[in-house]
Amino acid sequence: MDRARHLRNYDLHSWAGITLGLIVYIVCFSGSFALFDNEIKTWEDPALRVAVEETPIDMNDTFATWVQDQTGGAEAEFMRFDFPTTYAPYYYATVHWHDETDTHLDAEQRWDANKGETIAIRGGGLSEWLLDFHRDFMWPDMLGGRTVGRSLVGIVGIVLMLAILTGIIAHTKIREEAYAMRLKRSQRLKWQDSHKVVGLWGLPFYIMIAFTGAYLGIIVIVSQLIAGIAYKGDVEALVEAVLGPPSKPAGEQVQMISLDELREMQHPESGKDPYMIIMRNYGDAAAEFDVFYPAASRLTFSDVIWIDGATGEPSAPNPFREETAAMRVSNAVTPLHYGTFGGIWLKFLYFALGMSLAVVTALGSMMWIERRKHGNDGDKSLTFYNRLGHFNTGIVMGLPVATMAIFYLDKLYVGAESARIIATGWTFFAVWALGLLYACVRRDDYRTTRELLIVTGGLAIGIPVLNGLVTGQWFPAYIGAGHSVAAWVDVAMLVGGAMTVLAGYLAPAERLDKQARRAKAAAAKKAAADQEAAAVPAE
Amino acid sequence: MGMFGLALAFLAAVGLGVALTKWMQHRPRWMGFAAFLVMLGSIIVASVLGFPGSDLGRALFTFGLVTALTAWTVHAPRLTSVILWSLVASMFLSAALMLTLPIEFRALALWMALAVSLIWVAFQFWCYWDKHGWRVASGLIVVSMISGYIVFTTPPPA
Repeated sequence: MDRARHLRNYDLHSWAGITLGLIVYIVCFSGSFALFDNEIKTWEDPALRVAVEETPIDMNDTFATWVQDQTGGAEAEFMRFDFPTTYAPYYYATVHWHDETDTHLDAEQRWDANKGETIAIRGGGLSEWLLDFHRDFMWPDMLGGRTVGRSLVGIVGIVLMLAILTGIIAHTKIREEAYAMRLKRSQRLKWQDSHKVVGLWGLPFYIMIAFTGAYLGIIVIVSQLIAGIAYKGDVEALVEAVLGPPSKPAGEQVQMISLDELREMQHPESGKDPYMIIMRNYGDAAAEFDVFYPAASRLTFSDVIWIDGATGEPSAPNPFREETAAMRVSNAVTPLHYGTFGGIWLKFLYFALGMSLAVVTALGSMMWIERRKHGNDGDKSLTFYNRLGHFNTGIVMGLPVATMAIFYLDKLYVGAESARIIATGWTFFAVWALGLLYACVRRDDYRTTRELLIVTGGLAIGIPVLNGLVTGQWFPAYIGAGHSVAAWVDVAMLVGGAMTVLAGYLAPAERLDKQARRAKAAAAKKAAADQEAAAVPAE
Repeated sequence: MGMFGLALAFLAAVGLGVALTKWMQHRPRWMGFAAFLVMLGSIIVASVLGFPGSDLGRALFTFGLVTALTAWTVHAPRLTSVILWSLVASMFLSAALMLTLPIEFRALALWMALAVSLIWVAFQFWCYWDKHGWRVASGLIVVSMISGYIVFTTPPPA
């Protein structure tokens, strides 16, 4: 490759990284926590920390009565019913309908799996924030809503793919660079080597996560755009062409199959129990239920069986439901992205790799600034690059502190449940802004990094203590219980916090340039010589 | 004419504008001025065709937008291409492929949804790989225009 092309490629790599690198970092960091959405849900809501009995209580009549009470007999457009699982040990239902004035209404309810009593719906908070901030930045409605946020996250995936591609091409000696860690050289070289080594070893994962993230993010906007172009704006026509025409009610009221019977209906191949049912045209002769099972061995989110809502017999064959190769590939995207296909250890691996990608991105932006502060690159003043460095450090190091802070808010929150998510958001951004302010006031990126790492670790270590104090459930006693997921969250926080404190302690407190390193080495040599001289007895 | 035809007309106007402006840089001044007039005229025609009747405000806004876009593309062809034209070209190309490839539409739509991000990144990469920035910009506009023409003249699948 000629030099000019190499330089252009390198420019694209560094500009893609520096313009959107911080957003890539935010998406990667928040995504690492979003992986544990189910576990954190159990940690945040003590009502979920119960073991489900072998045979949960029957719920069909309670559900039918609840639907009738909510809709007042109006035709339900969409209904969902969840059976109790390890992570959600309760029955859950939601119904959507239109009233006489054609206003869209919806309701949701959950019931204790063992006693059948209603459990109050807890306002969305910690787990919802962690997941949705990763998925769509919790983008506000006044700026276009979640679709805009999701598309932005998709664009981040595109930028990451571009950065990976240009990064691979920029590094011409991949085999040598994959093993080169010059730990005794300058700070910049250490960062550079770490950026390359971690980036190269995690490459297959990063390519996969960037591609699946881009797909999940931009699919909403792309499908609308392509529909707008290919179908001249008719999105419904596109949906119908891909998913088939929607089913219509027959207008004849019939008795539905019992949900308690369906709970026992195991998957014919995997033998697993269903975990969710989606109901269309409920109560009508044309009712159809989609029965969802946990994916058995294939790389897909769920296995689905379609049945007649009245008889429970399998639905008539529908060509739109035949699983094509394209469908198998697109169904594999979500489990691949969230690591839901291989148990908790796979999620830990995803967490480590996701965090490493966040670190690679952060190192990239740090190197970019360092080169301009202490190298020949860049044409702005030192003050400008110093400020940019403080900003970068504040954003990078403030985010972990903010993430830990919302765990505390979750346990200490005393307001209305409906406002929990708003309080979570305010706390998150306020603490993040404080981190940024601290970095700007401290004016020393090395010390700020070190101190905020220790604060993050300290906060993480305090989370099990807070949980024990507020809920009375201390993890050592709870870890062997029938439902120990929340206790494992405490353990993970304790271990992760200790490691973060250690990382902060080991992080350099100042920048050592060549002269400073030489002076330090000379001082150490002199001290050793003095010690040796003192040890020799005077003749 | 419809929104789609309007988009095609604007693409044509910007494409023509970029090509003419590039060409007039190396020609006598009067030819450059003539090229500029042609570009201006094409954008005006596109704006008027797009918003006939009394919708002068929207036509003027569109005229300003397209002119600014053309100027920006001429000034920084790589940057505009990596930010905008690669996206436009990948969308139009995906839609054109969806309508023309002899594969069942339902499967093809899913494949294209998967492929569009790869096409987008490939176009972005081309922006900095090619030696000539303006060649990328005009290439992407041409791809968009050809794809747009295919989509415009092909009926949606049943």
